[in-house]
Amino acid sequence: MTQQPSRVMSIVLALIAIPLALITLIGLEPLPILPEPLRAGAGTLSQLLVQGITVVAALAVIVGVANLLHVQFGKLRSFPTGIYSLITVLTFFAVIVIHVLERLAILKPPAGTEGTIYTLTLMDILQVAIESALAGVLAFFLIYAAYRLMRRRVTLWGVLFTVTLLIVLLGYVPLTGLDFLHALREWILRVPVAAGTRGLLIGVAIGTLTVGIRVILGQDRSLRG
Amino acid sequence: MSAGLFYGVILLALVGTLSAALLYRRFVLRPIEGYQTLRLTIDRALETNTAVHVSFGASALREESTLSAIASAGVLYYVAARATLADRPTITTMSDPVTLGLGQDTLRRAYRSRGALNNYVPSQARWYPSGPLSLAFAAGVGAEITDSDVYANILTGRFGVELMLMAEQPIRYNRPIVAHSDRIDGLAVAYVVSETPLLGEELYAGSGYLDPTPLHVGGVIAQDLLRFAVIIGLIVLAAMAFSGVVK
Repeated sequence: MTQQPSRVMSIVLALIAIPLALITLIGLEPLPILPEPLRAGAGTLSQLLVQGITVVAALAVIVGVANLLHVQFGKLRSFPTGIYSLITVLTFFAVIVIHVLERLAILKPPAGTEGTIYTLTLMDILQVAIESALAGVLAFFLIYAAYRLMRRRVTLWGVLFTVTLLIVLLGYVPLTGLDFLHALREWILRVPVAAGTRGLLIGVAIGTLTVGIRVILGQDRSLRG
Repeated sequence: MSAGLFYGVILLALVGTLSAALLYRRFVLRPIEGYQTLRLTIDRALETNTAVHVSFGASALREESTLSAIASAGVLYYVAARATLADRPTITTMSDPVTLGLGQDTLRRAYRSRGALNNYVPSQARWYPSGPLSLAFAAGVGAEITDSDVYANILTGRFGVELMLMAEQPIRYNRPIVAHSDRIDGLAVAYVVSETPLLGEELYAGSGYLDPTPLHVGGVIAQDLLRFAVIIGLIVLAAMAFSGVVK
């Protein structure tokens, strides 16, 4: 037997969400035909709602961390993939301990520095360096994926994609005799790429608008229980 | 943008949606390959006893990507409801902690709709924090795809080039990916990694294809009407610029 949500609950959710959505909309983009007190009230209320969301977001980070730890603890049992989870959990607690020690001034920063220098250094060493290394590897993955694309389906659009990619990449090569490629690359980026980008972004904006309408009408699934 | 134009566009979308919803039986939506593949991919995952993974990427409730998160939640609901009886649970990942709540709630409702609420586990929705480049998130999701024996990956929402990192494992093992991004760099990667990418506004049309209520179908038709309005507007403005009416 399916457990369907209460119809009353769906209506209550919609009754809360629809006015709040409209108030936020009017508060963020005041409607000139509305009387001034109403506009000011909507503006204040929408600011309050936006601030409330910021508080919720801050609290949600704690929930996120709990979720992360729960999932990683659950994976500790499996070998060898559990090793990565073990590293994640150990790093998490190590950084917290170091940060607390710094805050309590038990771990003192080196002479000439101040603040939570150890935590920040760890962040620089681990995250920034590793992320930069991953970013470097991405280019190779992309080329491999482009190769796979051509192997999978040789279509007009696939060929066009690959040829354009080659022209743009070769256009960056600083060799004499490739000036025509520099000019072609510039034209590709300025005309077809810019036009395509705008077209896609307009499409995304229109799509966003229609989903927004669905939410305002209380017809999104999240409001239907 | 002036308030008049802003509300005019909203009103046009609203009227378009409601009018099309009233006449929705007269319209036939054009097939979108991504959604056709989605059904087959989930069924294949069920047959092979492997998991389905839906990622929201960096789509975040409260930010400008809020509506892409909501649209992705619609896809997650469909996937989770269809795969409720699978031995391996549908998992979802995101880098925004507020969106984690949306993911959990969507999964819970999908299981409840099939009378399988007992099978739902909140940790099916998994949060991976993102660093300055979102690559930490991508690395976490990449590991998740391997650990959870994921067959089908539906990556919809907000992604940058880090999408490539998540797609590396599925590409290597020749497993299907349905990818989308509301960012241009992510969309370019989605086109390369997926045989059936969802381009531009196609993600937002998902409800019309996966949950075809009159208003959802109406929304998709309104989307097309607005697109035609923009095209006509651009052509008219270009013609006026050429003829010197506007400068």
